[in-house]
Amino acid sequence: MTKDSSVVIAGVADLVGKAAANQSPDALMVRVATRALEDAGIDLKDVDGVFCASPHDNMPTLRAASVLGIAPRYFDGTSIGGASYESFVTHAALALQAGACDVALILYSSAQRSARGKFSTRSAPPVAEAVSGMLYPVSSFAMMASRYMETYGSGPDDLAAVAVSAREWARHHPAATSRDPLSIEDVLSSRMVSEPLRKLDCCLVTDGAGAVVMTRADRAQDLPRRPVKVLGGAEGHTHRFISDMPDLLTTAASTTVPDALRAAKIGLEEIDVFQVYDAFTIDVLLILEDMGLCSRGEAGAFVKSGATSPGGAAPLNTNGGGLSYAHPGMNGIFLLIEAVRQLRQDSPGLVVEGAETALVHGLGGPLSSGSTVVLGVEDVS
Amino acid sequence: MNIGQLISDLFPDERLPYEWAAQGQLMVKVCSDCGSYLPPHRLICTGCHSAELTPTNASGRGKIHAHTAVRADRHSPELTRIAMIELEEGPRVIGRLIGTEAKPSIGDAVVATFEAVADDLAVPVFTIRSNETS
Repeated sequence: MTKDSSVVIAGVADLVGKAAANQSPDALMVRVATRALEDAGIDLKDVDGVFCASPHDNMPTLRAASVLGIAPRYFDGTSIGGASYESFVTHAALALQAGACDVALILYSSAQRSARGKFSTRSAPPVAEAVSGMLYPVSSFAMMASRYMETYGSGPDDLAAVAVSAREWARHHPAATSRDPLSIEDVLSSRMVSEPLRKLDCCLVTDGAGAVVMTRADRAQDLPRRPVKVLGGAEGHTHRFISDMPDLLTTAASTTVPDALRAAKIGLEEIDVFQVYDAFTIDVLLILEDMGLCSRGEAGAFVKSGATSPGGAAPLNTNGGGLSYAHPGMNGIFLLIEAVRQLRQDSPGLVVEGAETALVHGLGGPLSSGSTVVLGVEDVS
Repeated sequence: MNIGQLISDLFPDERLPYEWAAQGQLMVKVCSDCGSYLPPHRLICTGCHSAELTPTNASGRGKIHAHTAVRADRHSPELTRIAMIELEEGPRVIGRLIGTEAKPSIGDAVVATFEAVADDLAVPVFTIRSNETS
């Protein structure tokens, strides 16, 4: 997608944790869609594009539009795991630019925690992985982590630092699921799940719903919120399961981040805030290196230096991410919502003052897919 | 999980590597067009995209490419060690490591052996070849 500042995110909303507990995914979706449309100042009847993935229904856009009582003329149910939501922004931007729709509503809802995993996505791994005793998906990420640590001489504290950085942000966010202080020692003393990954290296399992409203800038001129421009996007996938992963230490971010920045016509050094999908701590280390924010093997030291923490040079996962804020199955939409709130400077948690550009990177599967979106509030080219 | 039943229920093309294993053979595939060796589940050559792949018997020797360990069951301290093995022919395969309590290292040399899971089915597993790390 090439840069076209005429497409904007006009409204966002999310409901996580207790605010989302013990409600059906449909009811959650209605609540969050209503709030996002109110935030955008746009009526539900004007929504003519629906973008949705779901752990509950394999015809997600049919379900969402039917629940909302609308009959969209454009829809996309791309299902590449958590990265689907960053791809929806790119796909919606293309559809809006082409005139295929005028108002795009991107939706996610999951009652994953209340349903005690009953609705978790069913994707059978290859037989060899299943019979080996690997836990899906954590053991796939554990294998990447083992290779990362032995290749670069990193320690478990390098992984743990990612969880600690996330918690430092979450501590200040009123809606974050986990807000207690967290030390590297706390992470290293949590239960081993799949060596070397411990419980606190793994994302939360929560309920939650999110919605994002997009439209063209001409329409957004008289809307209540400061519109956030979609500056560029890029997506890719390389495998389904780790058995077919080309290189355990390289993810799709190695191409999607440079491609998205090129489309946005800005440099990595111009990004003020980062939202990177943190299903497991190792993801953040690999993706920081893939995007070029640090050299190979140095992401652990980078995170330990405080660069990604509050006050650091590369504020990352500023609501606490999937590790501390919420992780209702597919976290991609929550990364977008937090990026928008940072750029509007209205996050209920810590606000990175003066942030004008954000890079959002989603992942799906065992680092199978990657999708990057660059957002901004000023003309930065 | 009853592994024998799980494998018995597979389609014949998916079951083939486990029938070879029951004969003491570690099945991989070789590309008839470019000669690349591929993991047994592959259907298209990742080197040249040919669909002309032929099952063949690998040496069973390889080295650890990545590894993890999980609790054998929730109530037991016993660990199941699992590794991704890079075979000496090139393909990477995943299997349980047996006969070792100690944490392995990447590069440790391993060799395949076979555990019967049904009358005509076995699962490849791997043991560390001592004094042969690379």
